Amino acid sequence: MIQLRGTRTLVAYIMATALRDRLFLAFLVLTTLAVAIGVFIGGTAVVEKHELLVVYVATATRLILVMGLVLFVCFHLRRSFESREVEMMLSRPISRVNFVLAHVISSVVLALVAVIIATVVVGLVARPEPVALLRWSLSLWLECTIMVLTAMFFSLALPSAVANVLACIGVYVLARMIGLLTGIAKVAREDATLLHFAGQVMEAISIVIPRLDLFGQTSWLIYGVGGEISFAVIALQGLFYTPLIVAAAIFDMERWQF
Amino acid sequence: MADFSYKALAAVLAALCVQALFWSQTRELCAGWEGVPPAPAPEVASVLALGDHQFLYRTTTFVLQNMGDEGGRVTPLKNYDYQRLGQWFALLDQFDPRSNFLPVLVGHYFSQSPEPEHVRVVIGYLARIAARDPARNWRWLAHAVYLARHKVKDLNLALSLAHRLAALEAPGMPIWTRQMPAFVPAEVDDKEAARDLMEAIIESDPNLALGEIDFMRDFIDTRLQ
Repeated sequence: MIQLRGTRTLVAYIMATALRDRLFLAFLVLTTLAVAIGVFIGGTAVVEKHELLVVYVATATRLILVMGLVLFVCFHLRRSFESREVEMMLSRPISRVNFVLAHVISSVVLALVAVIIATVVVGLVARPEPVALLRWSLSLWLECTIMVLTAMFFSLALPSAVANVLACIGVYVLARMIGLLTGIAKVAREDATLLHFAGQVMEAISIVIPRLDLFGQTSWLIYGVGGEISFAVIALQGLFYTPLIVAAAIFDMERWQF
Repeated sequence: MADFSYKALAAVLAALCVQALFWSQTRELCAGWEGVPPAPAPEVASVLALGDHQFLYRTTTFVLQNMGDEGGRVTPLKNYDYQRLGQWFALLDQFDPRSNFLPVLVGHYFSQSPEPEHVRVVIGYLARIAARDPARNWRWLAHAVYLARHKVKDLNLALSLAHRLAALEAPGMPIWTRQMPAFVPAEVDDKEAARDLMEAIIESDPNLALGEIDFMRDFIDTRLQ
């Protein structure tokens, strides 16, 4: 059963930590800086200057958000373990499951606030169709949520913040490439050599890697929505992957000896 | 304590002076240009852009635009490897067939090489994109006709391209494109022909973006007078 009061307190504590670490201010400053660099780069293109600016700002914003959130979660949780805050919290009437759920809720809210900042900046710069901006923002929110939860999982599983961050970057890069890699794996499996085995390994890995390559396409901001990928696929990926990573985090939390 | 702070400040200033000295001696240095690199496979390029094809297309086209001219260096177009450039054009074309960024860069910038063999690579690219999407790209075939006739000076190639242009099935193509084979043999000054073509395209293509019209007008005013 979810203990609402303890969970709510923990969520408020994590949000206060994000504010104390000036996480959202950093997002605002960095995305504004990305716009400034984008204006400079876009201004030097021979034609379609605005499109280059939009693509640069949208991509930079996505990377700033994902990396910023991952860094915050990894270092915040590691710091909580090292300062024995986690032990103190778990000595209060909050279960381990609720501890993880509080972090899940915080992750979703953190990602939401970050994406709202990004949406305002990108919306002002790109001035895309409202539907396209909404779709881009929602898919970025799901992408950030998945990555923040991944960061939470690694922070509970690995004892080093640096290792957690590196693991998250690895998962992110793999998740952004996984559509292509499975395509190559399909061809490789038809090969009779060692490539066949490598293709099968890649196919197995792809089962637990989210299809982030479908998320946050900058082409939506330029040409509007449409194309072969339905937003339902993206929403379903977010819906299916989130419980997996949360369940894995709870399983890992239950293993911990304090 | 105060004495220590002064020492630390002196150390910072000394290090800053050394860095400034190094900067003054090296600011004119720039890494040697190895020439146009070979284009990667589409899969590799896609991986490098983390799956965002639009980002890949725009940033790589931007890199092509500035290639060879960074760090205060200017490389003449005749020194570029156009076979490799052709591979880049073909690669990027897969990632955004709707944009005019690359066609403008190829048609108006890379076509300025004085080497006819280089311009043939440009013509090949322009003819390909026109055949792929005639409604959007017919004007690039008209541009290819001009390049073949006035830059490469290959009348047969220009006529062949003009016939292909006239035969294109694209709604909204102006009447002069159908008459192109008749204009090709006419002896007209190169600049005048380019000016006439660009002005005709500006007047007759409703798909032109404002930025591109500005670019073409600037080109006419600065390069074709």
